[in-house]
Amino acid sequence: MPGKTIKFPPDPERAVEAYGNSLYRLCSVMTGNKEDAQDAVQECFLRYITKAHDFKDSEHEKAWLIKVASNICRDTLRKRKHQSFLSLDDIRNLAVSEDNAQILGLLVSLDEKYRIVIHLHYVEGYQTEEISSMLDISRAAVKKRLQRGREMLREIYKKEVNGDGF
Amino acid sequence: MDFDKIRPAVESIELSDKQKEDILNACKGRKRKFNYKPLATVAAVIVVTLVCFGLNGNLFGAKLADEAENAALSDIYYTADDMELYNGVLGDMPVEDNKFVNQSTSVTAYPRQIYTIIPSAFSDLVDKSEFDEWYSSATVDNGMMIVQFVEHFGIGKADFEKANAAYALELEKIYGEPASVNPEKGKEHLEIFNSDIVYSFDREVIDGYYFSK
Repeated sequence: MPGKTIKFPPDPERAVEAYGNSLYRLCSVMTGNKEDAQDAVQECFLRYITKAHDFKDSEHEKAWLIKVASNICRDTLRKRKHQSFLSLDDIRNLAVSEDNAQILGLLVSLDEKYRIVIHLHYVEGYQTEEISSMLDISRAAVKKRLQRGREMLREIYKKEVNGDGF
Repeated sequence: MDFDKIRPAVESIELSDKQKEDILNACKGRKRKFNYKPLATVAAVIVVTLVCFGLNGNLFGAKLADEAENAALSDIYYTADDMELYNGVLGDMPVEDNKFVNQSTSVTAYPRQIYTIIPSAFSDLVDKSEFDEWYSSATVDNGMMIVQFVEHFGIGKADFEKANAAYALELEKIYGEPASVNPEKGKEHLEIFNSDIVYSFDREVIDGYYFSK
């Protein structure tokens, strides 16, 4: 429903149905486990029903939710006090197959700042300018992080599976 | 190397119907069950007092009072906003965790969210690896996180206030409302640090200011 203004107060049932999976994926990739991801999504929707405002259209609304969710995930990572050590079991619990678990494992092994731009670009399909606006960083920084994120994914993959591309 | 495989792998992750239901229940304030016995007790005492005095303490009044007290002490559901109002805490703060309770007050109190966080506007003031190393051992048991951060890294008040202003802008961008050191009740997410309180370095003053009663 792009183009249609969304007035406050918002409708959580519609929003959870429309954006719940997207936010859950983002939070899963960012936090690396189901429980933290669900908590983050829940917190995001709680802020949505109490703190959101009118939105120009559904894309504006989704961008707001993604921004809030990414901030909540950052706080979660900081509270957890370690960002990199995620267990394989956590990753397997997130994925429905071993192949998917392998790719998710590569993704969540990236530093958080690369992970989120890779996710927003390759999963959500956002372009540099949109990601720049969502994360409040320059377009050049988004491009650099995308490039560096790709390089790191290749490097990690080579180390893990001896060089056959995925 | 095929980066297009990232999308289907991540898209295999979906919320179950149960998870969606849990989230919606939380949004409706039904799932966020909060047993705030001190409040319930106060409510019960008020009801008991009114009924006893209103009906001259006769048996009928006493029975009504008992019923009222039982009702008040039974399961009470609060909306998320109620929780925020009473606790100053919303989200994944462990509100039942006694280590966050300010024991110096007679009424159970909890720190507002700002007591436990270090926004990136502040952590960006120092080297990331040094920050991560410090943060891995820091705990809110030792007091307000930002105060510990300031003390550990020797952040000057001028730099602190600049970071605080940047944090205020960040909050305003996210929520579309101005942030302040003293937001109205229910808008604690818009709270920024009070530099005078932080730089008092007096835990009693700081806890007195940031714990909601």
